[in-house]
Amino acid sequence: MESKAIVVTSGKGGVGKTTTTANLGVGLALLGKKVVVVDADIGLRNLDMILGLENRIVYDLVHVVEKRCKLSQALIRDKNVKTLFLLPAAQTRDKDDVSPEQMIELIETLKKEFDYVLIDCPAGIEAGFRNAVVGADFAIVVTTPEVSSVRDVDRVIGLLEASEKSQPKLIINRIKPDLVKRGDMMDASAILQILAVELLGIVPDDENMVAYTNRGEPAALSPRSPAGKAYRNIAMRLEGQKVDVLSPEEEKGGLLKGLKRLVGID
Amino acid sequence: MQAEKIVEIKGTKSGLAILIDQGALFDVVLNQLDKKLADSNNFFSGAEVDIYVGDRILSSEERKLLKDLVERKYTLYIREFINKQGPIEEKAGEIKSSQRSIARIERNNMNPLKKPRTLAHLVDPILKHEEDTLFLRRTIRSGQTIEYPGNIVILGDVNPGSYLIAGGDIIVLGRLRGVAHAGAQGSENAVVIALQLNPSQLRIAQYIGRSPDNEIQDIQRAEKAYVKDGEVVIESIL
Repeated sequence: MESKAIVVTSGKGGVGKTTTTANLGVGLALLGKKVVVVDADIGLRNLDMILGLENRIVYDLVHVVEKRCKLSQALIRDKNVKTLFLLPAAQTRDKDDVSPEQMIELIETLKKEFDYVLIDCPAGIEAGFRNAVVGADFAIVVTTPEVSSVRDVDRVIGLLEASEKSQPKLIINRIKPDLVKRGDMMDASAILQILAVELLGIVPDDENMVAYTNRGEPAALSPRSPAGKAYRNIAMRLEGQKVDVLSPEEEKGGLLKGLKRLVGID
Repeated sequence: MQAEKIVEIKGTKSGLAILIDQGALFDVVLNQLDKKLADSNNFFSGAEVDIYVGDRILSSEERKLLKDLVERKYTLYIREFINKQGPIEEKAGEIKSSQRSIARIERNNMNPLKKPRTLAHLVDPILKHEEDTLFLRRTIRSGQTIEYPGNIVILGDVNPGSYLIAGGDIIVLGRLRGVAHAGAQGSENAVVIALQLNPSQLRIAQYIGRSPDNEIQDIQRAEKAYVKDGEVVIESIL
């Protein structure tokens, strides 16, 4: 299979780009793929923390592109999933310390070694965004069901389309089924109506997410986390497997509903 | 003033030094430096360099211009801007200027410790490179790097995501939770001391130790890290 470089982006901050990158990385690696997650958020790195690898960083992305260390020296193997690697961002530098040409070269090199290169994009649409996007084959855009987030993602999709990459795929993050049912939250179809891109998955809001993040153990590792399951499903879809996009109510329904659906009485 | 004397590039034992005449106009300095580095045919590319500015006080704009020229155009790496060395009174000036460059948010981040005299007594016998010490009284925050060829003493906390890099010892009168590298030029007898020593990573000379993954330590006593048999070890100092 040809390896893929995918950038995870959103425009707006705080919608879950980094969490999504980490969890998709874990999900794909659990499927036996060799995956590297690249933190392109230079100066505001977080991906290392979410994976619990912060204390292992010696060299980072900026060292690599400046040829001050070898790529293999900067790659950190995940402590839970052995086929997952992290290329951390530099914390003490800024976005302008890397050029688009350097990013293209870096991503191309990584693609030779890994099945998936997942790039965690910084918020915004400035230099950091351009650097993160430039080397990627396509983008996964993340939005929460809020008008501001959807608006920003729409803008980002526009920019991506202009850059002639193939169509971005959408992840809707932090859907709260109860609020949707009451009509207080945008549902997936309303969001899709605006954005008109392929829906890759819906991740339900999971209050344990904060704990996973703080502990440095992505939810995708936890068999019981509904968000973790959604991420594993998305990973399978990226791998070309047919997994239905469940509405969050169904995801939440658990075993009984699943059984009912199996025997066709739901 | 002769043009050659305005900017000089010299080798020192810790790397390269660029000496800038303190009286010359900044534009002239920049111009001369550009010329000198261009003449060197990228010979210095990748080298670490300290910039000695004498009594000159650089504005952040001037710093940026120097940084752009030296780091962007000629791919050297600036370790430090250094004011006139010499008597201790002047060194205090040096500290002020490096604080000024970073931000103005730092004031009063840390309450003064109650009994500074007992702390001085505590660390005094361990200081080995006492000739040259950078003292900062503020919180060192994520993304900030404090680099100094001598010792570094911080009166305040050192937050995760920040870096302290010292040629000599590092002493933090506060919580150390960032990355600390003592003896960065290879001195294996360098130590790291903190009132709460909980760094994400500790480096002494060429040795690296990292904090354990799981336990969140909350040790409420001063500790010292040093190299013993090729490993970074930590022990209580009281």
